[in-house]
Order: sequence, then structure tokens, then C-alpha cells
Amino acid sequence: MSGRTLIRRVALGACRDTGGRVRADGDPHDVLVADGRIARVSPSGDDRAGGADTGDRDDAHAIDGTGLIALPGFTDLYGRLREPGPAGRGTLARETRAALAGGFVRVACAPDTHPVIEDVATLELIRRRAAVRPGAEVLPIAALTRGLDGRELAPLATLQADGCVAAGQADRPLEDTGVLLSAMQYAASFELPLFMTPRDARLGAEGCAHDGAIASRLGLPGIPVAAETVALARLLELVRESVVRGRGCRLHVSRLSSARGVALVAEAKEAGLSVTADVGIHHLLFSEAELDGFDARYRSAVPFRSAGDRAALRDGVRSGVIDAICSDHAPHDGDARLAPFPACAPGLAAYDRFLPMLLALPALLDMPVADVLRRVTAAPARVLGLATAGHDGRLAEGATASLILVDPDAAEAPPWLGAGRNTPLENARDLSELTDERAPLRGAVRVAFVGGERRFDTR
Amino acid sequence: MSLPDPQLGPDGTLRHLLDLDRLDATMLTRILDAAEGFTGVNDRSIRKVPLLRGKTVANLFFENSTRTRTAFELAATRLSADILNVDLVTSSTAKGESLLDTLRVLEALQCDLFVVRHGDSGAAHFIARHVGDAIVVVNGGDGRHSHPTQGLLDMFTIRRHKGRFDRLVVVVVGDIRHSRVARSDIAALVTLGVSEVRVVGPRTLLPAEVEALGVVVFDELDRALVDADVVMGLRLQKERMSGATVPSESEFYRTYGLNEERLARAKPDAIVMHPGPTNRGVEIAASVADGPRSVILEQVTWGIAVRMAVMSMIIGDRAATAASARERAESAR
Repeated sequence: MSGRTLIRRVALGACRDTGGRVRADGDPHDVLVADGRIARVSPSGDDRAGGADTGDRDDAHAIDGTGLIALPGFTDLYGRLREPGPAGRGTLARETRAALAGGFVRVACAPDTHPVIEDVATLELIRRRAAVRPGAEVLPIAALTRGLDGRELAPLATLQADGCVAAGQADRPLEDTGVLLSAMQYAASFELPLFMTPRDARLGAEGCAHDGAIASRLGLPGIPVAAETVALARLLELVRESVVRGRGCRLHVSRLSSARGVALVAEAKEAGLSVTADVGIHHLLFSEAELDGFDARYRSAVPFRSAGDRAALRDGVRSGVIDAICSDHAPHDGDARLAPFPACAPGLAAYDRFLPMLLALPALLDMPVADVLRRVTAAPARVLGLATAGHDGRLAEGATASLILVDPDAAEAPPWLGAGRNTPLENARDLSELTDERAPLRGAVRVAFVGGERRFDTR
Repeated sequence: MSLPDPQLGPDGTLRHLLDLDRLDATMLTRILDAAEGFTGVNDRSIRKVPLLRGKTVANLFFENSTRTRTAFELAATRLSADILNVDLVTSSTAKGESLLDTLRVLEALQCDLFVVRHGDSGAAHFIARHVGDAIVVVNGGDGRHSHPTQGLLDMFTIRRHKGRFDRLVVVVVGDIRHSRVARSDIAALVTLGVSEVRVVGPRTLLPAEVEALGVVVFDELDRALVDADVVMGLRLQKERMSGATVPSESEFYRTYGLNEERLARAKPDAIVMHPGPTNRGVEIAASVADGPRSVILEQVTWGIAVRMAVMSMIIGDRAATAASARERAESAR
């Protein structure tokens, strides 16, 4: 599928109409993909791009882009791809294809695989399995500690040299503050960023829902906001300490959930610490209210908190305190949800319905479409240090051709690709079917190129 | 918002009894009235009515319980049902069989009504959503969430003594946080329109944002008891009596124990309730538990009538719904 592809009459921008729907915007363009790069972007009808006399049309495969929007492919800062791991929950081939359907051309893969990502052999396994049927590019996150048990450091420099883009503890806390500081300093030596989800090892350790009014009424063991903020404050103070000691650790705060957490990140940024942050997309849509009636589809390791927390997360995305939006993709097989709420495996499958969720955000957050898109393109690329040509979030000539063609108006959900259907969004057409807000859930990725290769096409 | 409530049928009748949160005052009153009708059965020479004859009630207890199981067993017996006691604490689920597999087997044995006790909050809802249409689920206690028949029998006991709910001041004292009984009582009391529900306990034993349940929080028991009509104690679990929640039994008793002296602040005709089993000298003085204001044993007795009412009502309503559906189908033909 390499070679030359000419995408004709495609829009490069998008806007929001009065009904809240995202639509293609701007003059149609022709985009020529050749030799793995975006060779040319030019207004349709312009001879330079695809006109008959250039000869492009003769040897290039053509895609009619009418009604579609060409966007740089998204970058996910946190997805679980489930391989290596127990059968049934997902495979690299399957989940990376689902990622493409969600618009992601690269995925930072969570280290809590089985076994965890802590040695070169596991990385090699991931590379081989991912190559069987390539989908989104896989960027592994190394386990920060061996077995994620929080005691001994994993061989971070080796893992970095072998392709890991960051190190983290996934959903496992790191209780020993001494080990944490040491891990930060060690990672800083190699400028390896830490991806940490702040969660105290003990506070709310038995919890399965936000410790608020809903959990109190349902009798669900709670996870207090302080479980996030205590751990976050500790992380930020240790970053400060690492700066004092000569080399500051690059900290990325993964999957914020609370208003207070957003405030702590904002303070740290103002103080000039090298900190970035993201939020899982579901946390911009849902709150604790959705758990009512013990709806296990909303069981999440990072809990859905109050409506006020959700509003603060949205503010954080608008203001840029929260740099990026991640998927927090967590596919499960059907059995994982066939238990009472506290016994269900946590996490929501995100990829297959990521695009409709994302396209609902401009209306929900009252944000320009381009700014929302930046939170899944330029911003996460910058967090990963990929902010070189081709990763600046805009479709630009000369960039690596990792791009997607989006039909913003697609109402019918395309065939499901991921292993998990553990999401309340599977059949939802409007957010109002799930929450007290209204927003159409439409849109589908039609074509995805990764490094110039057309790996996904549902036209 | 998104999941339908399995408890109520489309016609508003009770299909299962899972919690008291979403039952309105009319429904609660209807159950209490029905229970009145069953109090007489206990006094007859033959203590049985044939309402559930030919029906099988399965007691599915995933958590140890003698009192609740026995009460349900007796209630089902007096309704002439066949009883199947399944001890699941040491059974297949402990061997790794999933809860759902266990349910499927019991469903295949063609039981009509499951009484379920489970350690996870929400277990009764889960089971009600996953059994076939023919099965009735009655929650015998799920985690910290709900114990609706206990809540109903408490309401029944209050109504017997006070004759009404409006203008009552009810004090609930002790471990609210971990108590399914407290949640059921509070939900029913608020729905039935008492003038005030006061909750008292150390902050470690109150759930987050407890006021959202419709209660007023008191830190001091002495102040909470002033002009109380009903005082409800709760059992403090052994494992919470030391450590970070409560430092010791004796300190708990000193600060939140119900004793004669404190009760003097309540109204002269105040009643004292407790779901049992009591920890004497921890949450309640022996002299109070056995004293003239105590209705603790009455609660146990009324529990039989209330459970008879719940089981017969749901089975009866379902039969009536089915019969009218049949009639409609026939007249349409």
C-alpha cells in the first residue's frame, strides 16, 4: 500500500455548527502522500497538486475526500493493549486496529501487561506481535519498578534504549517515597519522562467509586479526592527536590480526576516545574451520577467524580493546564462485568467510540474544534518529545504521513474492532442517552495512514 | 440514569425488593399495611397461610447470617412455601465458580424466589438484572448498601409504637458508614416524612457527604438525643473496634454508647431499637437493651410478618399481572 496516494477534495479544517456538530470547514484541498511523507498539500483545482498535467493522477492511487476532513493522526498517552496477557481481553493486532478506528496513529502502551514491560524480551515480543498486522504504532511505557511492585527499579536505561518512551506504575501505587525519589532521579539521568497516575497506596485502597454522595448512598467503598491529591502533591514536591539536586525529573501526570488535582498541576506549572498532564476522555463526559443503580459500565480505576470535578477538568483542558486528552482504553471481555459492581474489573474500552466522544467535546467544552484536536495531536506529541516535523498537530508538507480521514457526520457506528465492548457508548447516538447533557455522538475514521502506509480503510 | 431500575415493573408494581431508596411512601405504606394482616397468623393455632403453596424459596447466603436467614425461613414456612437453604459461603463460588454460574444452576432448579445475602454492595441489583423473568429477588443484605426487610420491619415497629411518621425525631447512632441497615432506615424514614433524622457518630464512621441522604449530623450524642422519639443503635463490627477507625470499645461506649443517663434526654415515650446482635457495653448498655424503652425483641418478631408481606405481595402482584395479561390476550382473540 505504499507508493503514492492522492487524496482529492478533502477539507483540512473543521468547525462546529449551531447544532453542536462538527463539520468540515474551509476550501477543499488535495493531499499527496508519497514515500511515507505528505509530499504536497494544495487547494483543489490548483495545478500544482494533482492536476492532470503533473502526471500525479496517472500513477497515484486516488481517494475521493469529499465530505471528509484530513487530520494528523492522534497520539494516545495511555492505552492498554493487553498483550502480552491473558487470552480474550485483547491482542496487539486487534487493539492497535481499534486505535486506528479511534483516530490514533500512535499509542503509548501501558506497562501493566502480563508480564509487565520490564525487560527487553517483552519489548521484543510486543514488537513482533504488533508487526503481525500493523495498526497504530506502539510506543511502550516501561514499568518504573520491577513487577510494578514499587520496590526495585526496572532497567530503565536499557528499556529506553530499546524503545520505551516513558516509565510509569500504571494503576499501581508506589508507596515508598524513598524509592520514588530515587526512581525520579534515575529517570532524570536519561531524560526519561515519568508517566504517573497519582493515587495514594492506602487512602481508598479498597475503594471502587468516588467517595461522594452517590457512593455513600449505594454503600460503595469510596476513593477520596485526597487519594489523588496527596499522591500528586508528593510527586510534585519530589520533582522540585530533583531539580534542587541538579537534574529535574520530567513528570507527566496521567489521568487526572479532580478539581483539586487540576489546581495542583496549575500551581506547579506556574512555579516553572517541568510538568504536563492529561485526562481520560471519559472523565470529560461522565461523573459519579452515572454510577447510580450500580451501573458497572462506569467502573473505572480512576473514578468518575463530582460534576464540579468534571467541570474543573473541562476548564483545565480549555486553559491548557491539562495538556492532552488520552483514551485510558481498557478492554475487557464480557465476563469482567458479570459481577456485582465492586467485584467488576475496572476500566472502559475507548477506541471504537473515541472519535464520536472527541467530536462531542467542542460543544460540551465550548471550545474551537482545532483546540480540541490539538489536545490529541500536537500536545501529546510534545509530551512524548515527538514535536519534530510532522508531529506539530497540523497537516504539513514534508511531515511523516500519519494521518486520518474523518467523516464527521457518520451516524452509523462502523464494525466493532476492539476485543472489549465494555463501554456505555456502544449504542449511544447522543450523550443525553447516558447523562443529563446533550451532544450528538457521530463521526467515524474512514482511512488511516501510518508512516505513509494505508493501514485502515472502511470506505 | 441509563440503567432501568429492575425493582419496579412497568406498571409500577414491585418485581423485586432490592433497596428502599426508590420506593415511594405509598409503596412502603402498602407493605406495612400488608404486614399488619400477617401479624395475626403468628397467633393462630395453625400458623400457616397457603399463599406461597407450591412455590420454592431459596435462601442464597453468600455471607454468614443466622438471624436473617432464620427469619426468612420462618416467614416462607408460614406462607406454606418450600424452602431451600443454600450455604454459599463454603460452596461453589468459593471454588472459583462465578456468581452467575451459581445463579444459573439455582435457576435451573426452578426456584421462584431468591433471598440473597452478599458481601458486595449492589449484589442484589446485579442478581436481579441477570435472573430470568420468573424469579423474584429479595435482598437479604448486600454489602454496605441495603437491608430492605430490616428497614421495613424497623418502620413497622415505629408505626406500631408511634402510629405515624410525621413530626417524629429519629436518632441513628453509631457506625453509619459501614451499615446497610442505617442506609435502609434513613431512606425509608425520609420517604415516610419524619420531621428529622439525626445521625451521630465519630466522623470516621459517617459516610462522605452524608447530609445528601437527608439527615442532620450531630457530633455529640447527648445533644442529638434531646426530644428524640426513636433511638436506633447499630452494631459496631468487631474488626472496627480497634485501629484507625475507633480506638477502643470502651472509648466508643464512653462517647457514643446508649445508656440510661443519656436516654433521659429523649422524650419520655421514646423507643430504643437495634438490628441485633447487640454488643452490650459497646454501643448499648445492657440495662437499655433489656429496659422498658427497648423494642429490640419486638423488631425480631415483626420481622416475620414483614417478610411474609414482602414475599406474598411480590408473588401475588406478579400472578395478578400475568393473569390480567392472559385475560387481555384472550379477549383480544
